[in-house]
Amino acid sequence: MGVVEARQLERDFGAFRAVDGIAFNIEEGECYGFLGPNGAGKTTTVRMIQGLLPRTGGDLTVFGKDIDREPVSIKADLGVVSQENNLDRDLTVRQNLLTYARYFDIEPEVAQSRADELLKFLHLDGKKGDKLSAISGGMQRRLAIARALINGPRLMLLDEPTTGLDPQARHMIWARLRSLKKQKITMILTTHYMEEAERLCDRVAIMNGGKILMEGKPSELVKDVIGEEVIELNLGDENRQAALNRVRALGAAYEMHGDTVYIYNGRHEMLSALVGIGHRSVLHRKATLEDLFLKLAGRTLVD
Amino acid sequence: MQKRLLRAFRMWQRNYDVFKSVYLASIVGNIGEPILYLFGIGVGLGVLVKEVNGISYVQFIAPGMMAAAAMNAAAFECTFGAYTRMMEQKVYEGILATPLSIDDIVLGEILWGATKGLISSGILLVILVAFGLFDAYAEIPLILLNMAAFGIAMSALTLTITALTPGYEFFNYFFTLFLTPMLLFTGIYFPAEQLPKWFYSIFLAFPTAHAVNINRYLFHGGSATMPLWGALFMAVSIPCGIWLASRMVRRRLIP
Repeated sequence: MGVVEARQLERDFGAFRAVDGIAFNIEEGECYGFLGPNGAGKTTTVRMIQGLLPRTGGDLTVFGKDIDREPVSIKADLGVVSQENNLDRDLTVRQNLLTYARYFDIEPEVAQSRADELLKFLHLDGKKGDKLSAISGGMQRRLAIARALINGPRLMLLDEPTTGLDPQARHMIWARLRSLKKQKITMILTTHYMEEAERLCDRVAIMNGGKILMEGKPSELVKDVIGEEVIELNLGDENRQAALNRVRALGAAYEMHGDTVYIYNGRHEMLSALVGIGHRSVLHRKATLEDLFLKLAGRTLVD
Repeated sequence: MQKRLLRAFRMWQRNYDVFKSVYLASIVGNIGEPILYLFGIGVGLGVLVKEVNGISYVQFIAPGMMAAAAMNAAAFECTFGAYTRMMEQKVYEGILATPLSIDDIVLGEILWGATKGLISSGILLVILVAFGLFDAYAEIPLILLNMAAFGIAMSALTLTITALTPGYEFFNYFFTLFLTPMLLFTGIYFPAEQLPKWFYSIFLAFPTAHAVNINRYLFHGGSATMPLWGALFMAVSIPCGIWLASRMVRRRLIP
C-alpha cells in the first residue's frame, strides 16, 4: 500500500479547475516530485495532501486514511514546509521549534533535545536565541525544515523548498534533504527547478493545467522523450535560416528556443556535419529534465 | 472534548509566551486608558455630578469601567492581534500543518482574548480596592466570572468581524462606529434609563450592556432582572459566537 494514494483527484476554485482528475501512488521511502510551471496545480495538490484544502472530487488517502476524515491523526505524522514563509515571527529561532513541538503534544524535555539536535543538523545552532528578522532567507528556510522535522514525520511535504535562495543555500538544503532520504522518510516535493528534481527525486510527475502529463523516473523520462544526449547550438543573427536548413538536413528531432537550437539524441557524428554552420557556440552534453521540460513547453505547457 | 480543549490551550499558550516577552508595554496600553478615564471622568465630572442612585459618581462608573477595560483588551487582541497572525504572518497556516484544526485555533484565540480582558479588568479591580472604591469582596469570584464570560463573548464577536475584514483600515470603522457607542450607551457613564428604550434595546443585542448590568449588580446590588437576562444572554451567545467565529475564519482561510 502506498503512503499517499490519489484517484481521480479534483479541486475547483469557483469555475476554475486547479487539479483535474489526477492519480498517483507514492511508496514508502520514496522521494516523489511534482514538476510544472506556475499554476500547474502542484501547490493545490500538496495542500490537499496536508488536509489544508478539502478536495472537490475523487479519493485521497494518506497512510491509508482519508485525509478529509481523519486529519488529526494523519497530521501527527506529517512534516510540512510550505512555499510561503509561515514561521512564527513573534518567536525566536529555538522558540519556533519548541512551540511547534507543543502543538504535537511532545513532552518538553523531548522537544528540547530534539530541537537542539535539529538546529545542529541544519547548521542553525549558533542562531538559537535570534529573532527571525535577524537571520537570512536561507536560514529561515532551513528553520522551516527543522520545524517540519520536530515531530519525527513519516512523510514530508516540501513545496518549492529552495525557490528564491542563492546557490550556496540551495546546495546546503539539498544535502540535508538527501540525508533525510537515507533515513527512509517519504518525501513529496514540488519544484520548477529541474536540477533539484534530478538530484532528489526517485520519480516525478510533470503537471500542467491541473493534469499529470507524464510520470516516471527522471532519467527514464528523459531517455524516452529526448534521448541520451543533446547538441545545443547557439546561432548568430546572420544566416540563421541557412543554418536551420542544415540542422533540418540532419534528420534529427530538434527544438528552437530563443536563439538556441536543441538537437535531441544528438550523436557525435552530427557535430562534423555542423562545421561552419555559423554558430556562436556548440555544446554536446547529456540530456536533462530541463530538455524534456523545454520540449513540453514548446508544445503543451503554457505559462 | 478534553483533547479539543488541550489543542485550543496550545494556541493560548503560544499567545501567552509572546505576551510574556512584551507584557509591560501590553499592560500599559490596556490598562492605562481606563485608569485615565476613571480618574479624569470619575473625579473630574464627579465634582459636578455628586451622586447617582445614591452612590458617588466614581463608584457608580467603577463596575462599568471594569467591563470597558475587558472589552477594549479583548477587542484589540481579536482585531489587530488576530488579523496579523491570520493574514499577515500566516501563523494560522503554519499551525494548521500540525494536529490543530481551525476550530482549535479559533477557540484558543477567543480564550486568549478573554484572558487579556480578564487581566485588564482584574488590574482595574486591584486599583479600585487600593483607592477604597470597592468593598463587595464576597462578590469577587462572580465579578471575575462575569468578566471572563464577557471576554469570551466579546472575543468571539470581534474575531468574527476580523474574519470578514478586508484590511487594517477597516478596524478604524469598527472602533469608532461599534466600540465607541458600546462605551457610551451601555450604562457605563450614566444610567441606561436615561436613554430612549428602543435605542438602548439595540445595545442589548451585544454583550457589553449585559456585562455592565451584571457587574453593577454585583458591585452595588439592586434589581436582579436585567442581570439575570444578562447571564442568559452570555450562556446563549458564547457557544453561538464560538461557532460563528470558527465558521467565518474557515471561510476566510479556505477558498
